[in-house]
Amino acid sequence: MKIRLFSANHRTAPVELRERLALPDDALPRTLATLRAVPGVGEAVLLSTCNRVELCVVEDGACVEDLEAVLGRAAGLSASQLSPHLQRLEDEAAVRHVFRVASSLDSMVLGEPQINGQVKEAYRRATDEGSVGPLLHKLFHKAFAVAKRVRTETAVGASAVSVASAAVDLAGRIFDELPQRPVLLLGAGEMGELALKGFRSRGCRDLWIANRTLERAAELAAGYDAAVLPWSRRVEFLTTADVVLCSTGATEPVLTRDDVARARRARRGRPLFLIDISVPRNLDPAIRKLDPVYLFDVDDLGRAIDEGHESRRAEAERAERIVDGEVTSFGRVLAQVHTAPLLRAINLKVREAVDTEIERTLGNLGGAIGDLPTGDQQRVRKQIESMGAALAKRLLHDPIAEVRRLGEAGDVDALGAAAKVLGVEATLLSVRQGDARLEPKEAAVGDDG
Amino acid sequence: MLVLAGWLHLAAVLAYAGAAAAYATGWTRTSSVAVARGFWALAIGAACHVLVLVIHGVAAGGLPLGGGVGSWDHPFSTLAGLLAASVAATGLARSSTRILGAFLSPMIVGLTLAALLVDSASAAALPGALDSAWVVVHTLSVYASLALFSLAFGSGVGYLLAESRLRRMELVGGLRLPSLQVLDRVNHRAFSGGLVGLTLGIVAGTLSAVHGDGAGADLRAKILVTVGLWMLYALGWQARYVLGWGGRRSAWLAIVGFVGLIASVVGVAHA
Repeated sequence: MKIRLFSANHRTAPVELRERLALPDDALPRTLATLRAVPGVGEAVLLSTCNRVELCVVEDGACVEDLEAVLGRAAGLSASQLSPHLQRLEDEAAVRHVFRVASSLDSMVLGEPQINGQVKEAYRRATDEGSVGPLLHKLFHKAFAVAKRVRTETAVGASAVSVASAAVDLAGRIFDELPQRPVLLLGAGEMGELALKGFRSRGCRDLWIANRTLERAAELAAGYDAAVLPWSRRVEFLTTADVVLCSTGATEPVLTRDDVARARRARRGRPLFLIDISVPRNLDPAIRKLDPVYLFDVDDLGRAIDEGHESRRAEAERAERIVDGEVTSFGRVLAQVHTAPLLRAINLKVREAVDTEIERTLGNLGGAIGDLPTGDQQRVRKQIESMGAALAKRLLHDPIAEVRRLGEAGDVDALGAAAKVLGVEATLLSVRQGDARLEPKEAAVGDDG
Repeated sequence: MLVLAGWLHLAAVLAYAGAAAAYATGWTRTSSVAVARGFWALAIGAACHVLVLVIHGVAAGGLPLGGGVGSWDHPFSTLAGLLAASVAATGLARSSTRILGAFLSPMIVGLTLAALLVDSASAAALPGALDSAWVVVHTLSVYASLALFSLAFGSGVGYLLAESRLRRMELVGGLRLPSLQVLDRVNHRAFSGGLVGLTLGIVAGTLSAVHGDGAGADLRAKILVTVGLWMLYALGWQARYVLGWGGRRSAWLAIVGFVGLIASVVGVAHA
């Protein structure tokens, strides 16, 4: 059994292709069902977002081209269109990729938080469709745990990397309980709107928009559930607003130092945070000298974003080390995947041989013990069965330990040779096909061994 | 009881030292886990220390005046205990302020060590004139105000540091400090509380002097300096409401005011 992963992401596929690969919600169950119908496929999880498609399957001899064809057909792409843009990974490399994707280390914006939720959703959908088995269950749960470790032990997603997030981050360093702060947007520029969106997404609901053209302010306000403030009242509103975002096309300052100084008195020590995203600047730079007033312009935000990118890159190195460690530890689970069927096959073969010999021995003893009372007969039978089990256990100890060692070393060829030497190839096949006879008893022998 | 108090005091000293070490580790290695450990060590130390004060109080049948590191007239130890308690209470009320212990734990350790180095047996017996209810109010108020001014000092230092980082756009690296508004609020509340305590302490001290033998020359100097500082604080406090002062100015006021107060307590007392 192999974990196999196909990925089309921002590094391997152009945006036109990624757009087509982004499957609509209702197409997902159908695609998962088609994937599971491919011979040899045991489990499948399909993540499809606007920026990446990841198909993770557990398969045993499935045809790779068939899997790619299913993916291509779902997106209306031919094999020749899709194939050059697919990244193909197996086992350890596939595990590493899943961990990196869930931890947002493979994202276009390093450390962005949405991808973790998208991976969880993809896993949930696949579980609902019944296409997740024990291995992908373990893999994805481990991936979520790794993502949590990365999030808590590194600051890979902590620093701001956009104008909106930089503005919100700065505000968070000034204000307590940011969602309760009144936010005023002066002007209706695109950057200002982005910043306003950032504050809204952080839970700010007391939003105000002032623009020279009232209609434009009303239009923008409707989209953000904000209130409209007449442009002429912007100065007096400084006593109320805690955050002022300025993005106008004016050539003269729309707020002067004196405007802010007057408001400051009425604010009684409450800080005022102003962001001037306009070029040329629309807030008097002398405002910076007032205390406790914090004015930042577009260059400051640019610096914050640069630092944020730099910091995320540095933190990503730490995060990669965490992922490396977790991949190694998950390697043991993978080793079990390779060794478990073989161990079951060995156990099955030995148990069948032991059972046969016990029955034969009891048959041979039939005359000798037939005269004994029933209780004694049962005791004899039990003793012989125990001896058979103990003998099997003792004889199996070394081969099982060696098979486990080979599995942990990932030596698949040696495992195949071991299966041949032990004469369990045929039994191995029935184990892989899910022989129900095997489940409880042989597992106990394997665990003990 | 006093033996138990001795052990508790030792536990407090060790906890404070551990807290200072953990905070230092947290600060230098940017480890929030170490900061959390520092805070809890400080909180445990504060709890032990407050118990020491209570035990001494019970043993003395009132305010523990009259000697020993757990007694109220031992300024270093008492101030350390009350300061640690105020930092712990602030941190418990708002977890983001637990980092304030990084600025104040060295002071707490220093005060505690100073208390241990001073020979407790040499603590002078209280003059009979000071044995009154006004002295009790005066002592409690002054110690509480000192602890609160110390907390205001710590939050003031934190504010200036956080503001300096923000203005220089140093947004990555280093431990995250509480927001400026939180630091300013802690500063203002501690400062206001300290001012109330100081006012009460001055009034009670004056009344005890009036009802007693009157203040000696050294005490008069102390009163003069303290009243001068009180006026400075009161003006600074009022400026917040009249002139909109806050933030950096409040932080500086807390720092300068605290240094002045310590100078008045230590300098004038030992002049």
